[in-house]
Amino acid sequence: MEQTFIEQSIDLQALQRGDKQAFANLVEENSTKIYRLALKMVGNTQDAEDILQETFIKAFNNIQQFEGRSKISTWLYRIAVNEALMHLRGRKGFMVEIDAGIDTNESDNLPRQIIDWCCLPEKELMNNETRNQINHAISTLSDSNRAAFLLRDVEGLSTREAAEILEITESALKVRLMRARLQLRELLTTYFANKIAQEQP
Amino acid sequence: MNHKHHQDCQKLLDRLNAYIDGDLETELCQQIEVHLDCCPDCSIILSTLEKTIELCQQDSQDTQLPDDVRQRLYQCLDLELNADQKR
Repeated sequence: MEQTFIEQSIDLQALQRGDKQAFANLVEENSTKIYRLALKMVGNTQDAEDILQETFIKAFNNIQQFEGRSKISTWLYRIAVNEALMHLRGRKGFMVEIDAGIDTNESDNLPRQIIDWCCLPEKELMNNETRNQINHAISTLSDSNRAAFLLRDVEGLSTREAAEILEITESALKVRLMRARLQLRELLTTYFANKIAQEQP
Repeated sequence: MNHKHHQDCQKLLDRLNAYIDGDLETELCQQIEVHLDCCPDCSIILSTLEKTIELCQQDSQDTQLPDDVRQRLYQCLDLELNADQKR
């Protein structure tokens, strides 16, 4: 028997009947995480808001096609990721492939800096300056590696769900995730190493 | 400082993702943990990698949907905000 994944709080039949309250519940339950994903994907609030609106407009218009073979939140993430990728593609111009010239080769993924910054006080590990560094680091990832990282590590989806959203194999997802994680670690290590060096007499 | 990628370190790096995600069999986890106990460099790579992920999660979880963005979303979808949502 085919497995279905309907969240308990979502009434799919009501949604497919066009029930406004059911759709409002869907929006309320998912809008923050869709906005958060969009913001991290594109890096600015205006585009993130456009993606948020487009995601729910498309969901509303296409709800009849949702068959319940995945969670509805996974389906929304897929729409949002596609919208975000279209925004990014538009920003870069149609002649540029989405990851052209950005992806790194294997040797770029080896850890280079071995500096233990985990011992820094919490106020130095998470403040406004650090948040800016985190966002900058995420923005330097290739679009495909960024999407893999955000879905799997930030939004906490399973490898299977994240791979399904990106329409890639689980193995490919794991490769992208590893590249993203190591690249972010390298960038944050550079930042925190400078902080540690500045503090030393 | 440059990391000396000797054989055990390379084995660990190859399995780092799976180790972090809890996808490795117990025996392989134990092998990694034995290596981590005697290799400070790999231990630092693992702890800073886990901390990197944690900081990114923490930063993102603190992101809220701004009230004006929520209002415009409901407006464009022709939905009513209920009293609790009109914050």
